Amino acid sequence: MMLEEFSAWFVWIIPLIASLFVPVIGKYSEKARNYFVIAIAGIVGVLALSLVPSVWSGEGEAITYTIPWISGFVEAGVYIDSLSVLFTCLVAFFALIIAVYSQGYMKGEEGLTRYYYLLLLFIGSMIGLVISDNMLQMFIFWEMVGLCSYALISFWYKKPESIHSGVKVFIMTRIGDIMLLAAIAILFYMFGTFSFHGVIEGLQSGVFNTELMVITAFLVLGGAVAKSAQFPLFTWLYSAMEAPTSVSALLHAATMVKAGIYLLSRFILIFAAAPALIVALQPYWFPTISWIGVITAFIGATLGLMTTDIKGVLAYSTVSQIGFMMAGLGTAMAHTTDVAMSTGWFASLFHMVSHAFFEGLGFLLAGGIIHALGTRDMRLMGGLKKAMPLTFALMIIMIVTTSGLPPFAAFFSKGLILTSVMDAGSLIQTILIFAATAITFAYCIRMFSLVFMGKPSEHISKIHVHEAPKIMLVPAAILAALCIVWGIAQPYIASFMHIELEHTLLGAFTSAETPIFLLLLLPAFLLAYASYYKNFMGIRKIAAGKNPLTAILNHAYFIDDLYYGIAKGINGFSAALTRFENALFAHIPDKVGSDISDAAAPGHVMTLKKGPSDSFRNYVAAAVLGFILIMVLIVLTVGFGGI
Amino acid sequence: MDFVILALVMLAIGIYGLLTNRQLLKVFISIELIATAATLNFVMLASPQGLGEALLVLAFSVDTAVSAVILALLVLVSKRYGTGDLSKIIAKMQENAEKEESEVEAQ
Amino acid sequence: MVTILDVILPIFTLIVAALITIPIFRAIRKTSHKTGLTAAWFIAVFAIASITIVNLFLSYYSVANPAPLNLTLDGTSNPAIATSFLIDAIALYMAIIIVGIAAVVMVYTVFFVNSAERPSDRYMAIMLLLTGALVGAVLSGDLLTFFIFWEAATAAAAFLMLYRKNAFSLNATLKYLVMVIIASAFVLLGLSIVYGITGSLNYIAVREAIGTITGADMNLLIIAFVFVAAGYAIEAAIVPFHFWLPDAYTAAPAPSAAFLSALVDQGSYYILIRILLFIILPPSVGGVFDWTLMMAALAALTMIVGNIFALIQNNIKRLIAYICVADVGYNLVAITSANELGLQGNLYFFLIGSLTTALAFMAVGIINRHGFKKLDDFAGVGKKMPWSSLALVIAGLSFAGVPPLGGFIAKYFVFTAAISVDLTWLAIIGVLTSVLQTAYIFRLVNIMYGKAPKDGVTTRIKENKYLLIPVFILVVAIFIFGLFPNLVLELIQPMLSQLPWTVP
Repeated sequence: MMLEEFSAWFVWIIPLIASLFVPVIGKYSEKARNYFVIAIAGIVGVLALSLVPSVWSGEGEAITYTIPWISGFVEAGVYIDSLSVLFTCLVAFFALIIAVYSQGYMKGEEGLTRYYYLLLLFIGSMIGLVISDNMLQMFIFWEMVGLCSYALISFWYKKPESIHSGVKVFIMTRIGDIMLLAAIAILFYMFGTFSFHGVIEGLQSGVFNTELMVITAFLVLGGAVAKSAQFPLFTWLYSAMEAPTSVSALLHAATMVKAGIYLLSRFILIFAAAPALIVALQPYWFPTISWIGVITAFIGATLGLMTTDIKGVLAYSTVSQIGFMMAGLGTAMAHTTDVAMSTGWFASLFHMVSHAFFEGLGFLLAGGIIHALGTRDMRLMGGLKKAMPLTFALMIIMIVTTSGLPPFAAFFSKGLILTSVMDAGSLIQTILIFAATAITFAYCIRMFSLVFMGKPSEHISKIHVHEAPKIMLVPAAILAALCIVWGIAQPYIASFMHIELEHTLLGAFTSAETPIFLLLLLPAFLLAYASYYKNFMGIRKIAAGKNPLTAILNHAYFIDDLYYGIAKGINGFSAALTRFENALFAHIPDKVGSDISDAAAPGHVMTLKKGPSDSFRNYVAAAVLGFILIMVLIVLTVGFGGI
Repeated sequence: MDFVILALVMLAIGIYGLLTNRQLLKVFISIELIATAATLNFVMLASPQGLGEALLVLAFSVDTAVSAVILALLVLVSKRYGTGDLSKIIAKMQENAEKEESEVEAQ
Repeated sequence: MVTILDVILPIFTLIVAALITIPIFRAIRKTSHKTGLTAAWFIAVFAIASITIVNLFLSYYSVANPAPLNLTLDGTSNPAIATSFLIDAIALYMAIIIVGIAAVVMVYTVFFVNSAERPSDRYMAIMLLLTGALVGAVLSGDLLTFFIFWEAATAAAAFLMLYRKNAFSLNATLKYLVMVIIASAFVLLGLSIVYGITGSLNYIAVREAIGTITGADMNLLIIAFVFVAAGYAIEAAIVPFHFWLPDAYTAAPAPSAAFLSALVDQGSYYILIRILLFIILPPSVGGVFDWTLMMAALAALTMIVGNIFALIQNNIKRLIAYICVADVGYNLVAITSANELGLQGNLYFFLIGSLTTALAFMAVGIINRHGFKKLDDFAGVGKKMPWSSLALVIAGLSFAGVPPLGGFIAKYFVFTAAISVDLTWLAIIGVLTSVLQTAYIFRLVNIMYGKAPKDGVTTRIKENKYLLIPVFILVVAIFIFGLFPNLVLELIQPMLSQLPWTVP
């Protein structure tokens, strides 16, 4: 067995199996359990890193290893190429960071065994998702990360909001799952295989139905939109913030929400096997992605301006940043049919990694603040500069990186996306995405000012605020360091991904979008600075007042209300149906079938208001109707001649 | 094929009777009618194969036996409950069941 | 080589065991270890029954690639008119599942019903009788033998519903009986016409005979088909014939509901498979007439109605009963997409559906015993009764098709099969109703774990260990068959070379 084959299998099997041991070890010693989790995360990290050399030195061809699973139907396997290894390394790295951070953040919580069990299960499933070589296996892991996310969001199950959010998140992402499942079914139907290799070979042979492939592509996009919290299914991510902050950092900033980005980039790679298909997708599919991307980037950024929840700001920031990545993917293949020549494809993956660093950093710091203050409401914060100096310093790094100021990581990655959108997108798209960048800066400054500047609030003066413990600051510091240096890694990552970049590293400073971008930041900065730092009340009054703008922003563009309306409609419809059923067939006049259980209880005295034969008549009437239905259907298809 | 239509008519009458009657005896007659409809079909359609008479004898003997048992049960039931009305019988059975349960609880 | 004795032995064992159960119980009641001895008796019965089934299985597969085997009761006479048994991969598969699941439910029953109660011995004897009748039904080789065994099973099923004699269960049973009588009348009438046209009721003989008929006979055949299909549709609770099912399952005690839903209801599409795929044949391989539209419409109707009605049920048992109706719809999708993949999916779904519905009713049975019946009562049950709640949640997730549970692969097979025969619209309806299923399952989960109990008491209730053992056997089975579907598929594989249109 080759080294990379060994690593590729065990990098996800080990955490999955280890998760089963967590409850066993947790029974004997809590300390041993915590070290065990860190050790497993470390092993996963080493295994993930050992995959890098062979991919880097390779030609960009994927390597697969398979074993039989369901005979004649599908084989289980691993798929090693630069995309899957990039994601694997990212997940493994974050797993380690969060495993360490949790030691401080979750200390003294109840149900930690469950927490660590789910954490390891998630790590295994997430790596399994990105490294699967066939779509069925991928889909199983795709669902499993959704389940882990549901369980972790509902971790504090004693809080009703947690449970409610968990259910909402699960159902909303499930919409996407179903679309993805449909796409997989169509691909299986067309190519008779689930494996990526099989689909690629099928596409290369050129025998495929282009229209059906376009539909498939849209279904894949639907799956990605739901999982990555994009417009119009983005509202779940805000609800997901009920989870412990460490979980938010891992699942809802760094890894799980990127599954949609993984899915799209993987399928763009697959579709690129047939240049004709890419050409067919260029008029509708790619523009749809970029439109979804820029709209989400803009909406997410504007919503970040209004929320008073510190994690809410980070959640909307994540939504917005993933919108940037989608915009990058949507403009990736505008002028080329070869992924290796595409700036947008690389840009969005590069931004995906830098976003993981700065957003993860943001969540870790927010976790420290929530830990110290016991609240997530930013109106209760303020003036934390003195009390938490290290957090303050790290937060500065986080906001300058998020805003895309040079020379930090996001300057390079976001810059590449902006180039790609300017290059290939329409004018409105360009305007929207530049506006989103400017607003990003504004909400960062707003959050920063509300939390760290000004006078300490009453809430703070009542409690003793302490700096976050070391075990929480060290992982944050590592992420901060990466935020600073990651941009320089751009050429190396490009060569790892086997992409030929037009831009050099220095080119980022001289390209056309940089001055526009910097110029736009200035007014955004001034406005936010003036209103939140200098207490210039004009904008704050508008924001607090009642007007259409705030109504829209406070209701998150009314999208949730729309969904609740639909759900209510379905419920009302089926309630009406039940009334109909009861009117026809009920033997007991009851409301919505609810009294039946009382009637079934032993000793319950019930008088029969109707004789049994009265409702039988309706029953048999239904049976006769059904008989006629069958007759009609058969006669419709077969015909009835001869007599 | 006239007997097929006859059988269908008998089936329809049987089902109608099943639905509209609460008297056990009438319910029984309806069920008999349905069974006879099917038997009629079997016997008539089996004749070309030379099996018609054999089936007829078989069907008659089985039918007679089954009817005897069911009629005996009917007599027993109406003696015990004092009525042949299905809904009244159900109401009485229910009372008895409750009595039994309360007896069990008392013990 | 299989002899007729091998075939009759399992049926005979179960029915004879059912008959001598009552005297044996009378003896057991005099001793001091009532429950233990009762369990021992049933374990012994099922051990013998399993041995006879395994014997049949091994002797059938002792030759490589065995062909379907038609055996008559007297061994010599014309199979066209004699009582006959058909042994092939499907029949054996069904028999194994029925005996296996019945054994698990039986263990649960022994600990569930109070053995001191008087009706309990009759109740358990009837369960054995029902198992025997079902095994006989799936092994039978002609429509009449099937009909007789099936009638025995439905009559036994009616008694199972009647364990608690209150007005509600009496009423439900009566409804069930009326529907069953009408169903039998329909079937019998249809069979008589089939017999008239073809001169036989043997599966193979009928198939060969109807391949050549024309003209007026064809019309008669269609009438006969509609009668038989409507009759069995009533028993399989296909919408719009489903109205008896929710009442019956709600009224029946938990073990009966598990038994009925897992075996009787799921088993009733076995005959639909036989009729549609083995006698009439799918239209794509030269079937006598095209039944695709009819089955597809019924399947769509069943999925939609079952799921929508489940959405607003307030009683948990009734909710699960409606999920059973929906499950019937998913099975019909598999039958409708009549190719190898569909048949494989169908048989796999049969197993998973049986396991899941049995599990759900058994778990609900444990919870119901403590007085939690309605949706509101279930608030906080997750903390009060963690083990049974976990089992119920797993059953629910399997219903909704969440991987890696068995329900996912099952549904996946079914929908893939539907797409592969160009019934994409049916697959889309199936997928959308599955989303609906997720919604109400998660509402249940939400209530069980997320809401505080009405009375505010969260102390843990002691759950009966002996009841949890069979429940968790089923949980493990759902996991194992979900992760390694190969275990089941290998049992089904030989069927692929035995289909009437693949056999030369």
